[in-house]
Amino acid sequence: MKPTDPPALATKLLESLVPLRTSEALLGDLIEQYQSGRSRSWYWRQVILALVISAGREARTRKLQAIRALIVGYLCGASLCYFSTSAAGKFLGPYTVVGAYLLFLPLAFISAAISGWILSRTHSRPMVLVFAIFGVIASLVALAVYALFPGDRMPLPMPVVTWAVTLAINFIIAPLGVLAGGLWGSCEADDASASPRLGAP
Amino acid sequence: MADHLGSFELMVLLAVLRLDEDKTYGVPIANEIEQATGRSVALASVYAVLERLEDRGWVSSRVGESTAQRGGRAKRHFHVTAKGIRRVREAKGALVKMWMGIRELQGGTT
Repeated sequence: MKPTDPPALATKLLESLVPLRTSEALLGDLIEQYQSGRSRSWYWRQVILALVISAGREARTRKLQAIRALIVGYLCGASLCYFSTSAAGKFLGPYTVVGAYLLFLPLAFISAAISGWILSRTHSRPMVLVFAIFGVIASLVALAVYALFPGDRMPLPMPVVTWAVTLAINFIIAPLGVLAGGLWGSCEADDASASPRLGAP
Repeated sequence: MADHLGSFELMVLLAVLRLDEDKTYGVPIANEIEQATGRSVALASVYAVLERLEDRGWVSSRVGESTAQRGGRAKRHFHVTAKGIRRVREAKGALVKMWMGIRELQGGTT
């Protein structure tokens, strides 16, 4: 990769998850600015902002589809995570708490990625973003509710490992998994739509 | 409130009107607003506003040329429609009416 090339992952995220109407011209502008001396961190900031703005706009303008995407995404992700960890637990037998977390983290990522992939194949692409961002916001709300009203089931303070795993899953692993699945699904869709054109005379 | 014109939307419309026709795309529009306000403007928010204004029929857009410096991606040029200009005039009229007669705002430049 040449040093003057903008960050490829950021470009791919914008290209794949933001509607073409916005992404084409915006990417051109970002690349133009990057080539004229803007930093990689500036480029990433602009892309992240574009993803958040696009998700907000899509959620506002296509409310029903957004609600359906949240339901489908949550049902897929949560049920896959629940069944895969249960099955793995039965298969592996008794294991330590740390072992459980080591097993749970990759399974949570894979479940989130599959839900992202399903969303990108069944809904418009920005709905993957809507789902990922909603997940982060819902986790923040849940965290605030838990901090304010701890209840009896999970009394404060939680063990440090449990905190670390909960935060890692809600704020890093699940959103990244959903975005990775969304990218995977949109790349497959692009390949499928490009194939007939390549073979065309 | 589909007909409401926010302050950032007004700035974007004014920036498009101020620029030469070949410069009415994202980067120069954002630069124009940055120079006027002294604040940094995200390109994504400029596009979000322009698309909202286009949906309301206040601006129109056309796909422009693509260059190697832009990674081969085309520019999108914006143009304020007659409906948009009418809306800017109305906003100016309302602001001027509100401005007049305020003693604290008379005489100074800041």
